[in-house]
Amino acid sequence: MILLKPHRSTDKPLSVSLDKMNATVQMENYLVKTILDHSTRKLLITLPSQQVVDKSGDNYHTVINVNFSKIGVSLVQNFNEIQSKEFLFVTLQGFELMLAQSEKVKDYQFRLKYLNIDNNAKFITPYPVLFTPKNKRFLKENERAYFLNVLLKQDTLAENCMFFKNVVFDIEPMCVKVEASFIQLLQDFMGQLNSALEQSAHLHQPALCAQPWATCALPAETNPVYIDEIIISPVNVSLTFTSESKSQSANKLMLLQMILKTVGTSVINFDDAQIDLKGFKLQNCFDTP
Amino acid sequence: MPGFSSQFSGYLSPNSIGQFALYIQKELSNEVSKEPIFLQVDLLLQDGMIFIEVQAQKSGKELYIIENQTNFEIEYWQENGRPGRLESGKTTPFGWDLPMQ
Repeated sequence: MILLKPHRSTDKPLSVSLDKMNATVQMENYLVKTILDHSTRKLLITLPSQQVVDKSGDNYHTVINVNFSKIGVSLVQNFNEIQSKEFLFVTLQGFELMLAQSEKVKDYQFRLKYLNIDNNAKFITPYPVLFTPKNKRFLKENERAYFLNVLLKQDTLAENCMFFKNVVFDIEPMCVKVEASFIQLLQDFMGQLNSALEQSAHLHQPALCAQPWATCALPAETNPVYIDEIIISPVNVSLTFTSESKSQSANKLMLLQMILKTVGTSVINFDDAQIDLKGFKLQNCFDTP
Repeated sequence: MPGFSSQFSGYLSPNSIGQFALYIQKELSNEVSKEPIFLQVDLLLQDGMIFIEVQAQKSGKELYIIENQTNFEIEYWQENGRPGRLESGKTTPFGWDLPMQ
């Protein structure tokens, strides 16, 4: 047996046998697989984000892959007015959506190699990049590494319930830098978007019927959900926030200031605050909506 | 073996027929650093006799390999054996310190 653990980790070491081929052991932030490569027994230690839908184990009759090497999304404010301006630009690289279905299982996987959000709200801003991964170099150099990985493995033989064998969520460390005025801008944008959607819904609404049954909503169809295993890897966020002078945005940031007062903090400017959410592994989860 | 450290490898039992990789350290008298050596040991039963065949493991024909594809360093060891470290993105051959354990 070989014992292994991440360097400087205080976790209990993982014990792995070199005799069991194709065995996979999943830990919080890494997984270990033993494979036979010609006559060599290989112990492969990978990140959960490198876990892929295994096409060899099940006989998939349908496999759908949607891949985009690069997508740019621009969010524009006041688009109906003369002074419309872009305030957010989202860059997505290595966008992969995969569906594989066999007689027994249906696998869904979403992977993203790189996600970057630029703050274009102001010409001069201390934080032109709102959101970006921390380990850019690692993601760039390692072909199998992904910034985000979501994997769902559903058992289709289960009746009257949604049975997921595996749910895996893994995200690489990220860096978020926000200005207070940007939050206000985002709120304005969401308001505009909601009103536009409401207008659109109003246009397509049929003439109201006097009968009460016509407007009565049907109860939603509910299916209990059973998940054999959920694995959420640790999340690390480096958060930077800065507020502007009170004169500029005293009224606009009432809500934010109220929240900060509630949690008892008087300092609302901080640089690279490390937020660490511990990963977890849950087994046999059952939920009825 | 000449030129090797005075320390013995882990013991091996001739009755355990099979093949494994053994780890030893090469240490020259005028050098402080140690070079890891991986030996391929075959215990063969032929005509009622047990042969112990020892040969240096050839590059590309290792019996065991550890590959670290994570973004962090990994520590690994056999129980009661020497600890080893493997950097992110690196590969190393592996041999038992104590093959009969």
